[in-house]
Amino acid sequence: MAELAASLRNVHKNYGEASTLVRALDGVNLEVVCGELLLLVGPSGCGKTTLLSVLCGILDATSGDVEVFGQRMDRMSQEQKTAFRRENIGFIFQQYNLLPSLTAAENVAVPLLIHDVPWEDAVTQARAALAQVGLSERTEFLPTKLSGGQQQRVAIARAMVTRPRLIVCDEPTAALDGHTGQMILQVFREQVLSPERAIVIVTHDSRIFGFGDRIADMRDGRILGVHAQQATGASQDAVELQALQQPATQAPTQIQEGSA
Amino acid sequence: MMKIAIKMLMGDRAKYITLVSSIAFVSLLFIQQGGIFCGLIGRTARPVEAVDAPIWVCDPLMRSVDDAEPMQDTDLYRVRSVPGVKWAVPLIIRVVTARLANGQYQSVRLYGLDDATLYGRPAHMLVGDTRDLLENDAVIIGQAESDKLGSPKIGDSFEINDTEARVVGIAEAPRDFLSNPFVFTTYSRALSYLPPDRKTLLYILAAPKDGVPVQTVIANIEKTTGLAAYTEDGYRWHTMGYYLKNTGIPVSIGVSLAMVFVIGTGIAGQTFYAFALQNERFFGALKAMGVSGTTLTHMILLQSLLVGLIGFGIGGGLASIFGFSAGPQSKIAFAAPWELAVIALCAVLIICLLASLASIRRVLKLEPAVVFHG
Repeated sequence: MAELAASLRNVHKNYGEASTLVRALDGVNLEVVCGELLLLVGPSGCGKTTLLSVLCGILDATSGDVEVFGQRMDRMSQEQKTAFRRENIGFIFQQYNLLPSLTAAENVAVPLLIHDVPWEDAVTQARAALAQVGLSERTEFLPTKLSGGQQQRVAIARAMVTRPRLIVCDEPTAALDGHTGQMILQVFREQVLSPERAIVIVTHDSRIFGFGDRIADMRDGRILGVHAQQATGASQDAVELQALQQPATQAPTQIQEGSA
Repeated sequence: MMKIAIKMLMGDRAKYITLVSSIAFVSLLFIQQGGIFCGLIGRTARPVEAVDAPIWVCDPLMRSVDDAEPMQDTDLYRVRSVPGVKWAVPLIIRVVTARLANGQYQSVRLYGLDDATLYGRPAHMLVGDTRDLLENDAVIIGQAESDKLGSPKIGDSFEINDTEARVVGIAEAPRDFLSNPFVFTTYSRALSYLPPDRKTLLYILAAPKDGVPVQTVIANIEKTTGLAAYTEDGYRWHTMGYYLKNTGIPVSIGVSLAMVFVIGTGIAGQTFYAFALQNERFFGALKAMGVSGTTLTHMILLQSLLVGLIGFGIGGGLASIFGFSAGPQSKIAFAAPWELAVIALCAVLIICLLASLASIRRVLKLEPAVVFHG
């Protein structure tokens, strides 16, 4: 049985109070295991990004248990969370967030530099990571000289250069055309995913649904269901998500399509 | 990470140039205004520096070199009798009115030098010889401000108190605070230029005997005669202190320096804050990736320090160009001692620190979740 990468149990996240109270997460239960690519889907404003933020410890849950690789995030201090993220989590953002004044290699080197790797060593490792995502010819380019797909691949190389065990991605294909988006997901499956690593992708891009091992459907701060599938890499416009009732916390090996 | 901070700073050319320019402008104004302050105050003591004597003795009520509190003529002999005094000579320094050949009146700073030794005579003669002062009606004029006397040549004359003053030499002389031309003559002739007065001796210049400390001789003179005695440096500061306390110069310059400080802090702070705002999602991304608040603070402080040092270098350089172009003989009073540079650098660093505080606060309070906001 695959190692549990992360689990959320009855997690609530509220914004505001009284009449302005917004329940961004309303009793979420979810498990992520190593070796899987989990897609978190749902309409805008349903709480996907909040869930991702809580999962990786950059946002505190109002209540509930958040555990990543056996560590209770909700019991950590901010400093401990920062250190934990540094060691265990890689990030890929919708807007890439590449530093515009750094070259592609330097951008990829940033997480290594955070780990106090010397500059030259970090850039050398970064070049190797860029080669893995097919950008060995663009290592000295500034982000502004790269296409959207190339920038996202730089971001992927940056997320995996320190070999984190969990990679979280926020709408990685939102700013890309369909073909490029599918190519990026291909990179995720072929270069990033490994048996000891889990990937969680927040997306509402139905064109990439076919790349996920499981798809968690969110509505109004709740996980309505988790749908396990054989990742085909094909466009999945037609994927039908089962509206499962809470809680939906089973690991993918236990989940049966349509089960509650 | 510090290298990244530098690349972040310099990568945003427009903001980087704005920041460096604002700090350079602040540094330039600080050193330029401070230099004018030092220059103006320094000029109040130029009449003292022009003489170059080890010990200055005067009436205790004398507040500055421009004051006139005469002593008894016999005080000269009392000072000469003080233990440790090697020699003592009289000196007059007074601002008097000269009447030029065209009938115009002009204030001049009159030096009456000891007839026997001409002690206090100009060190560098441009035209003529100081010994020519022993001729009838002879005066030597300082070149600086001599245009106010009609730029006289050797042999030209003007009047002081209805008595002829004939130019026998032109010497290098400093510009003083009042911008009066310097006129040197003998002590006895200076007395003829002054209005009749019961007491006329203004200063006694003295020197200690070999091996006797100046301070010991000064203490002996004060104890024995009841007069005030200073080293040359001491009397310079006594004079400058009078102007610092009794004129509006420190307040005026201080106000402009304070405005430079406030405006500089405002401009630099605003630009720094805009820089932090613009880079918010990058700082957020760094926080999300595990960069600690301490490291981010160090990064911003480094950026601020770098801007401060580069801006100070440029501003200081421009101020130096201003100072050199003005020159020591310029009508513009400008002096930039190293202490001024240190003070200006400290002020600039404080400005940078204050300017970066808002940015640091912003970045520290920044929720890393901001990076997930598309």
